[in-house]
Amino acid sequence: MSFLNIALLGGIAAFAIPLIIHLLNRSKFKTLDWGAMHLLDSVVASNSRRIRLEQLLLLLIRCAIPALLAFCLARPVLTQWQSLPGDAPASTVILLDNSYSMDAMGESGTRIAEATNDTQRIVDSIGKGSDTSLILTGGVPAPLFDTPVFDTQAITDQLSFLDTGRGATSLSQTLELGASLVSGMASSRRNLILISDFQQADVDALTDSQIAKFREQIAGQAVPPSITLIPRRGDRTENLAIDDVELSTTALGVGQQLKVRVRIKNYGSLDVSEARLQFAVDDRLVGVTELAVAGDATAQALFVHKFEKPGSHVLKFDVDARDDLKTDNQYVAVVDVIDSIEVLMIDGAPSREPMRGETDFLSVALTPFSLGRMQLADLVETKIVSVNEIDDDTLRWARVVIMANVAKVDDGRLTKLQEFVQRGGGLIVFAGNNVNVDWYNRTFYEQRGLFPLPIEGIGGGVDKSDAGARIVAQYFDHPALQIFNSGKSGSDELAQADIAQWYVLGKPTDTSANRIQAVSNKAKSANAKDDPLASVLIRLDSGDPLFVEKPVGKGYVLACATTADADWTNLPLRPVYLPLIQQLVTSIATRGVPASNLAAGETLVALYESSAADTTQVLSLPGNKQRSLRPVVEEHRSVIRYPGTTQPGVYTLTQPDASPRHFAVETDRSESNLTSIDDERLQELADALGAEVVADGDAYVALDASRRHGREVWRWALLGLLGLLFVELFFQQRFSRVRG
Amino acid sequence: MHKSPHKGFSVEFKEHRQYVHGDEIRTIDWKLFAKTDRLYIREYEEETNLRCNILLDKSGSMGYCGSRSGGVSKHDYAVRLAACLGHLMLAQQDAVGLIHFDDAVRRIIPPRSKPTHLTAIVNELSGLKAEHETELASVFHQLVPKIPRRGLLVIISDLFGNIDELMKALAHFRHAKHEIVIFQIWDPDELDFPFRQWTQFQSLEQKSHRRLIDPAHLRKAYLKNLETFREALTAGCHRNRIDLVPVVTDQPYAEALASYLATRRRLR
Repeated sequence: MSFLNIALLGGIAAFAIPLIIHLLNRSKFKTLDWGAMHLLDSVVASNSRRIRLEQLLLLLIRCAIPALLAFCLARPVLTQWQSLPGDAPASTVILLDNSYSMDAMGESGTRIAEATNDTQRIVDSIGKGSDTSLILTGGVPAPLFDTPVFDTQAITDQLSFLDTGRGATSLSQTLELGASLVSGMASSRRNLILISDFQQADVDALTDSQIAKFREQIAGQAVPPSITLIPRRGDRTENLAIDDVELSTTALGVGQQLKVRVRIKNYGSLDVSEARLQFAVDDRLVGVTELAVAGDATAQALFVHKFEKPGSHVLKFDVDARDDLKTDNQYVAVVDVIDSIEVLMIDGAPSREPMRGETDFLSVALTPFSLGRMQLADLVETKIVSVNEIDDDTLRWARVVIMANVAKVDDGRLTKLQEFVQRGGGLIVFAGNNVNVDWYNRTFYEQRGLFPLPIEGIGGGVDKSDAGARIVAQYFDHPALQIFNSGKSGSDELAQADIAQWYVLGKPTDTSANRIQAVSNKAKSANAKDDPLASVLIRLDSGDPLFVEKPVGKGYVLACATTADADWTNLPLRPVYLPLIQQLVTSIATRGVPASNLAAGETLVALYESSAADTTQVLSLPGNKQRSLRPVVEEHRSVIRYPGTTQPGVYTLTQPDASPRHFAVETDRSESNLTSIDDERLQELADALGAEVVADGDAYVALDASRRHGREVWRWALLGLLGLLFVELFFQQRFSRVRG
Repeated sequence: MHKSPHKGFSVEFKEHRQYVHGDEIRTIDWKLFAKTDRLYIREYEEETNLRCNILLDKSGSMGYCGSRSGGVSKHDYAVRLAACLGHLMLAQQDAVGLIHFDDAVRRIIPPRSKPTHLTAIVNELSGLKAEHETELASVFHQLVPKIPRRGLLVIISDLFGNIDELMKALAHFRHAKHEIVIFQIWDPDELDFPFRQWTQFQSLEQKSHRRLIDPAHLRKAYLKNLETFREALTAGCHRNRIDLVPVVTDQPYAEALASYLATRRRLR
C-alpha cells in the first residue's frame, strides 16, 4: 500500500482528541449529595463492567473516526490488488509528437493522422472520472489544456484542429514535462504515453543522464505511472528540404540590393535531378531556378532582389520535388525596407571650402544621388549642425547621429545624446585632431559609458612616412560588412586604403611598433581595461581597432579610430568608402529594431511610439487565427511582446491607418531527416525508460486492460467512516437515552 | 378520619357477653338472667378517641433536595406533613403522638388529645435535622413493645433499605393490631434520574460512600431497579394490608394528604 498524500497521514494523531475529551470530561464532574444510594449501588455493581465495555467501545469508535478521516485524506492506494477492468478511474498523459516530420507518410496515412487516431482510440477507452492531459511535443512541449480535463469530448474536439508542422521534438524536455504533469494528477492509476515517429536525431539527442534523470523523476513519485511508447514510423525517408535561407541583410533601403542564398538539402539517398525552386516576394513570383541535388548532399541557389517600396516584405521560397515530406519544402523570411534614414551630422571642424569640412565626404557617401543631382532618391537624409545646435528637436528627428572630429560636448547635450542612444538610436563617432582626448576618456568613456574604448595613444603619424597602417583583409562577421566578404567590393578593396594616423583604442597591443604615446592623454592609465561589451568590426594590420561597436541601452555606438575626412586617411577618397559608410549607417539605424525573422518559440517583439499604447493591434497567426494585442508603455515607447510563436509561418501585425508588419517564424530543419530508429533501438530506449512498446492505440487499450492493478481505497475508507459515524450515533443514543 | 374500634361506656348497647369471674357485678343484665337463668353482662359502644402515632424518618437520605422541588427537601416535606396530620387528629379529639428515628429511635412523644399537645409536637418537629443512617427494620422492631396500645401508625419515610426486612418489621406492627399508613416521600430526581454529565454521587448517610459515574449510561438500569423496588414495596404493603401513599415533593403536601383521605373515605 502507498499513499498519494502521505503528509496527511500525520492527521491520524487526531485519534487522541476524543481520548483527551473523554479524560477531560472525567476530570470535570459535579458532586451530588444523594439519598437513594441503595438504588444506585446495585445498578453500578451489576452494570459497571457493561458500562466500561460500552464506554471503551464508544471511545474506540470516536478515536477511529478522525484516524480514518486522516487515512482517507492521505488517499491510500492498494498496489497489489487486481481490479475489474474499467471500474477504476485513471490519469493519463498523452505526449503527442506534432513535429513536422510527422507530416510524412506512415503505414496507412500521414504519421500525424495515425498518431491522432491512436490518441482518439485511447481517449475513447478512458473511463468515467478519469482525467487526461494532452501534451504537444513539437518545438517547445506544451499541454493542450491548462489543466487535465475530465471531459474526453473536449480532447476529441481539439484533435480535429491540431496544430501540426511544429519544430523538432526534444525528448528530454517532453519526458520531463510529462513526468511532472502526471505526478500531480488525480487518480491512483497513471499512464504516460508517448506517440512519436522516434526519429534518429531526436533519440540521439537524448543522453543517458537525461534518461537517468527521468527515471529518478518517475521513481520519486508516490504512484509511478505506466509508461508506453507507440511508434508511428514509416519506411519512406526520401526528403528534400530548404535547409536554410541566408539574407545579406534583414533591413535595407528602397533600391538597395538584397542577396538571398538558399540552401537545399537532400536527406534521402536518391539523387534529385530537377528540383524547381521558386522565390516570391509578397506572393509575387520574382525568381525561379532548377537545381540538381545528389542524395545526402546540399545545393545552393542565389537570388538578388531590389525593393521599390518601403515596408515589411514577406519572402517565400518553395522547392518542388517529389519527396515524402512537403512541410519543409517551404521557407519564409521577412525583410524590412526603409524609406529613409535621418542622419544628423555634428561637424567638429566645419569649413567653407569644398571638401574641407569634416562631414563633406560623409555627405557625399550618404547622399550620392542628391549631390550628383540624379533622379534617384537617396535612402539617407542628412542634416549638418554644430555641436551647440544639438537639441531635443534635432535628436527626435534623427535616427543616426554622427560626431565628426568633435572636441567635446557639454554635459546637458551629452545627457540628451545618451538618452537618444539608450532609446535605440545609433551614434557614430569619428576621430580627428580636434578631439579632446582627456574629455573622451574621462567623461565620454568612463563616466557616461558611451565611447566604446578609451583612447590609449596615437598610432602612425601624418608627418612620418611609412608609419601608416592598412585594414586587415579578413572575413567580416558583422552584418553591415557582409557585402565585403566577396566580389570586387570585398575586403581587398578595404585593405588597399592607407590609414596614416589613428587613435589607439583600448589596450595597446605590444606588436605595434609604429606607435607614439599621446602626451596629452592625461587619463591614460596602465591598468586600463577593454570594455567587454565592445567588439572590433575592422582591425588594422598594426593590431589596433579601426571600427569598434558597443551596445548602449537599446541602441549602438560605433567609434572610428581615424577621421571621416581625408586628413588622416585616404579611405574617403576610395570607392569603397561609399558602400562602407552606407552599410554602417543602415546597419546602426536598424540594429535596435527587433528581429523580424524568428525561430519557433522565440518572443515576437514590435516597437511603437509611446502614443500607440492606446491602440489595439491585431496579430494574424498561421492557420487563420487572430489575437488582439495592446502595446505596453516602456520608457519612451510602447512595445508588443507575443511569446506564442510555436507555429511556423508568417505572423502579421496590423492596425488601422498603418502598413502591416510581418514576422517570419521558422523551425530548424533537424526534423527533415526522416530516418527513424529501428525496433531493436526502440526496445533499448523503452527498457532504458522503463516503458513498454505497443504498435498502436488498440494494442495500448488491450495492454492497459491487462496491467491494471492498484486502486485507491479512500472511497471504501470513507464509507467505513460514515458507517462509524452512524454506529457512534446509534451507540451514543442506545447507551445514554435521556428523556427530553 | 376513623370509627372507634373500642367498646366502653356509652348509651348505645352493643352485645351480651357471658359473665366471667372478675367482671363487675353492676354490668350484669339481670333481666336476661331472669329469662335465661344465665349470667350475661351488657356491653355498650364506647366512643373513644383514636390513638395515632406518627413515625417520622429523619435519616440522612431524607435530606435530599432536588432542583425541581422548590428548595423543599424530603425531610422538610415530611415534617410539614407530620405537623399537618397532627393538627388534623387533634382537631377531632384524637390522641396524637410523635416518634422520630434514624438508625435508632431518637424521641417518643406519647399520644395526647389535648389541643395544646400540638405545640409540643410542632416544637419537636421544628428542631429536627436529617442525619445518620437508616435502619427501618430494627427501629420498627424496637418500637413494637414501646407502643402497647393498638392504634394508627402513620409512617412518613422514603423507606430506603432492605424491603424484606422492612416487611417483616411492618408485619410485626400488624401483628400487634396496629393499622398502618405509610407516606413514602420521593423527590422528582429520584423518580426519573435526569442527570447527564459525569457526576460523583455522595451518600447523604455515609460521606465516605461515593460513586463516580456517567449517569446517562446508568439511567435505564436505575429506573428498572427503581421500578422493581417500588413494585416489591407495593406488593408487600398490599399483603400486609398497609396503605402505601407515594408522595412527590414537587406536589403540595396538603393536596397529597387530601387526595389520600378522599380515597380512604371512599374505601370505607
